[in-house]
This record gives sequence, structure tokens and C-alpha cells, in this order.
Amino acid sequence: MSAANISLIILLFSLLFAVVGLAIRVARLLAHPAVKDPSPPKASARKGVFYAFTFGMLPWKKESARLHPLVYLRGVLFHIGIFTFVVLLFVSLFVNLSNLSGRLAFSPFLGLGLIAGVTALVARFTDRNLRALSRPDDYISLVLVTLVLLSGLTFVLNITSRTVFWGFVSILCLYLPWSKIPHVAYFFFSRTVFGVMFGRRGVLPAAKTELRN
Amino acid sequence: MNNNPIAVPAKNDGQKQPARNVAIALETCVRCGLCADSCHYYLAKRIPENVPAYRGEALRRSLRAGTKAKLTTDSLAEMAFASCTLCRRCVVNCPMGVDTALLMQTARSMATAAGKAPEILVQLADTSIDRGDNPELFREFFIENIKSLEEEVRQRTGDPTATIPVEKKGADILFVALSGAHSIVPPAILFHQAKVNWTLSIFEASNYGVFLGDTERAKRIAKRIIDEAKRLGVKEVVIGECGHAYTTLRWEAPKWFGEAFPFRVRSIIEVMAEWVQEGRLTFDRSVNKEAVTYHDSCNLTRNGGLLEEPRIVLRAVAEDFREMYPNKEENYCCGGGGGIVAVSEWDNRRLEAGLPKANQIKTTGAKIVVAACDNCRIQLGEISEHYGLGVAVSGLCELAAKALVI
Repeated sequence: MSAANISLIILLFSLLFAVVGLAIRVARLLAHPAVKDPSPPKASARKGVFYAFTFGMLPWKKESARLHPLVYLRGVLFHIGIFTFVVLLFVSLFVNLSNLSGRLAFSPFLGLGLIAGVTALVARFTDRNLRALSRPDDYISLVLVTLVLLSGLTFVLNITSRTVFWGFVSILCLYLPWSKIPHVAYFFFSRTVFGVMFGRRGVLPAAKTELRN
Repeated sequence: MNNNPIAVPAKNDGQKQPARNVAIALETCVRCGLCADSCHYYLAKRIPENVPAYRGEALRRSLRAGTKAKLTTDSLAEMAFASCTLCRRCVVNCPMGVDTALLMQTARSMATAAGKAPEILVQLADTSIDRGDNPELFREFFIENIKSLEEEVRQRTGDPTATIPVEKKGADILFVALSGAHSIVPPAILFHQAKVNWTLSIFEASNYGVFLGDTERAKRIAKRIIDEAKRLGVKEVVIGECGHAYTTLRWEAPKWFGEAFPFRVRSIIEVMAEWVQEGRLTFDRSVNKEAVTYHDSCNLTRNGGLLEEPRIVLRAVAEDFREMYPNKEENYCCGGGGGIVAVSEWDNRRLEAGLPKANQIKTTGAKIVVAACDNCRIQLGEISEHYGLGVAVSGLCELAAKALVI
């Protein structure tokens, strides 16, 4: 069996492991009893949820983003990089990426994501608040994802092989169930809860929020 | 489904487990630290311990440690009661929407169960429960006191027939005030002028069980009012100027009891705004000439949804109303929420946390700060003195009653 086939088998097993691990974590979360809210709503929970996933995510709608635009931008670029490597991974499974120009289309997103990952890691080590907040998993997850972005970038630039990329993705997938990465799924629950609560109480979307005089 | 927003017994072993909303808040934080600037404690003192995510993480560490560690250490209790006013400003600004206030409510719940809650909050909650269990012990005394307040209402309305009805069956509105004449007289004047069929509750609106994170106590305190409203057959319960009391009865209590109440629950602020819009009351704004600013109580605004209502009233009753910025759902907590105003040992910390609010007030140049919450008013008065702001603090009903054309 060739090295490429072995790496493919390991990757597929790792992907399955990650999906099952993620599903178990989500199932465990949803096993917690839900709270029934019979209070008559003042406004629309649906509008609140819609806002939570759309306008409520815009940088000018959140003080945290308004005060820290570079951190917001870093987060956006990092997650675009992640989305790009996921697409690259699936493309690399089914399509022969021998055409370098086609592969290069991924490189700006992976590159910017990589820069965002590295700077986020530096911030984790240097920012006093982040150091105090961080668990070992915060560093491990960030390092692994950044390495995947690096391996993806070097793969599309034809510096390293697809096997190396798949190898790093496999490591990430095997770690994923124990990491904070399942926030990719929790995000949707959390923002839904947020939208329902503030929506039905008529807090968000606010009609006219006055932020500055 | 369950009726406890914090913790419920699991099906199999009877041990309590977090409700789903709590579990989601526990799992979702990615520790990005972007919540730091949302917190008035952090703005007053920029240390990692004052970052909301740090507090949430401290709770997670305790829960992960399980029975090996003291789940409710003194430091966890102090963090939940003295370093977070449950204002939810961090929630509004969290990219993930993590409800850190709910986590701190959970930490309070654990601390209370372990006997680590501030004694004064426990005493205040238990006193309310005792009053509910034995209303006959104070009813006569309460009614006597109300009679003396009626005199003031008659003087201010110029109507010798004006009354403060108590426990009146068939009233449309049951008004639930706080302890003290300031909470009863101005609304009584407004009710009288609006010609409303109302009655005063013999119970106070405040619910210290909520501050303790103790759903059982909070339920018993709320039940006194619910039972009274049902007994009197009112159409509506109107809560006086109290942030947490409004949010409790309007939004939280139906969850505890698992049902919508057979009466409407509103704040006096909503009722006043409706009267202003209907033209039911006439005001002379020139009576309130001095510049007025409004402090959004976190419970009324961010937790309660009353963003525009107080402004409708203020624009009708005051000549020079100035907003402080940011406001509404982005407002800063005054630092007096979550019951901390009752715990004297944390006075210094409370006043320190009032710094962002003090700066906001100073910027407006207003001479009067209006707040529709008693705890906020106490805190605002103290930070005015502490930071030399020289502003007077008023309730919204009082300001409206002053401007009322009789």
C-alpha cells in the first residue's frame, strides 16, 4: 500500500472520529433539559434570532468589535482561512490538484488565515488578560489549526505534499473532540439562545441605538 | 422541559445538572477576552480578574474539579456576588453570545446552597418569605402607614377624596411598590389623576431570592404577589420603579411556575408611557427646568426590554432631557445591581465600579439623574457624592408627579 493510500485511510478515519466526537459532544449538550419560557413575549424571538446571526454580527453593532477592529479582523481572516482549508481538503480528496494555478486560488485566504493564526498565538502569549484566561487547549487548538493552515498553504504553493497536509488535518481531527473547536457547532446554539432571549424581550434588534453623541 | 433556569435534578440519579442554557454558556466561550471592555468592573480596574470570561472560566474550573475541589469556595462566592452585577452588558457584546450573567447566577446558586452567600441577602429574602407566610402579622400596621401617606396624596392632588386603596377586590391594577413612601406616593398621585381603578399590594416588589440565585426562595417571594393578584382578580400587576422586581415577575417567574399568569405584568414606566401617548395625563415640563439625564437600569433595559418607554415619559415631563452615551442596551451598569448595594462590606468595590457611570453623568452636564430603579438610585446618589458630581437623583414617577398638571 502506498504512502498516499495510507495517509488517505488515516485521514478518513480521523474525519470520522472528529464527526462522531463532535456529534457526541453536541448530543451531550442537548441532553441538558431545556427551560420552558411561558412569559408572553414583548417582541419577536424570530427577529431576535435573525438579528443574532446577521446584523448583530456586524462589527459596528458590537462594542467589542468597534473598540478592537484589528482583533475582529483577525478573527474574520482566521475563520475564512479555516473555511478555505476545509474546502481545500474536500477538493483534494476528489480532484487531482496538479494544476498549480487552480491551487493558487486558495493561497491568499490560507495565507491571511495563517498570519491571523500566528498573531492570535502571539497575543495569547503576550496579552495579560488572554494569558490569565487561557487553558492549555487554547494554545493547542490554535497551534494545530495554524499548522494546518501552514501545511495547506505550502501544499497549494507546491512546497510540501498533499500527504503532509492530510497528516496535519488528521492530527487536528483526532484532537478535535477534546478541544474547544466544537464551538463551531455551539456557536449556533448560543446565538440562538441569545436571539430568542433578547428578541422576545424587545431588546434586540433595538429600534434606535444611540452609541455616541 | 423544566422550570428552573439554573439547575434541575437529573432523571436517573437525582443530582442536579445545569439547564441547557447554562450548559451552552459553559461550553461556548472561546476565551477571546473581547468582553473585557464591556464590564464596568474592568473599566474601573483593568485586571484580568475583572474580565467577564475570567469569571466564567473560574466557574468552569470549579465544575471540572468536581467533588475534589470546594465547588463553592469563598473566592467563587465573592466573585459571583461582588464582582458581577448580572448586568448582561458582556452578553450583548460577546461575539458568541455567551450568557456570563447566567453563569454568575449559577455560581451564586451554588454559593447560596453551600451557605456562602452574603448573610444580609439571605436575611432579606427570608424576611420577604416570612411576610408572605404571615401577612396577618403586619397587615394592620401596613394599612395604618398607608393611611398617613394618603394625606400627602390628598395634599399634592388637592383632592380630599384621594385614597390609596389596599387589597381592593375587583381593581383593574395591583400596584406592587417597594418599601418606603417614595415608592408609593408619586405613583398614587399618577394613578389618581389617570382615574385608574387600582389597589396597592401589601407586599414589596423586591425579590432577594433572585440575587441569591435561589429559585426556591425566589418562587416563594414571587408567589405572594401572584396569589394576591389572583385573589383580588386584577387584570394587571404593575411593578413600581424597581429593575430586578420587574424582570423577575415579567420574565423569570413564568419560567419557575411553568405557566403564563392570568394577568398582565407591566412596569409603572410602561403604564406611564402609555398614558403620555394617550394624552391621559397633562404635564407642565417647565416645572422640571434643570437638565435631566436618564440612567438605564440594566434590569429594566437590557434584561427587561424597556428602552423607549422611559424616554417617552421624560420628554413629556422634563424641559431639558439629555442622553448619556452609550445608552439603552449598551448602557453601563451603575455598579449597584445584583444586590451588591445591600452588602456594606463591598461598598468600596461598588463605588469603584461606579466610575464609568460617574464619567457618563459628568459628560452630560445634567443636574438631575433619573433612574427607575431603587438600587440604581442608591448607587447613583453615592457615586455622585464619591466622585463629586453634585447631581440630584430622582425617580421617574417623582419627576412626572412634580410636572403633573392637576
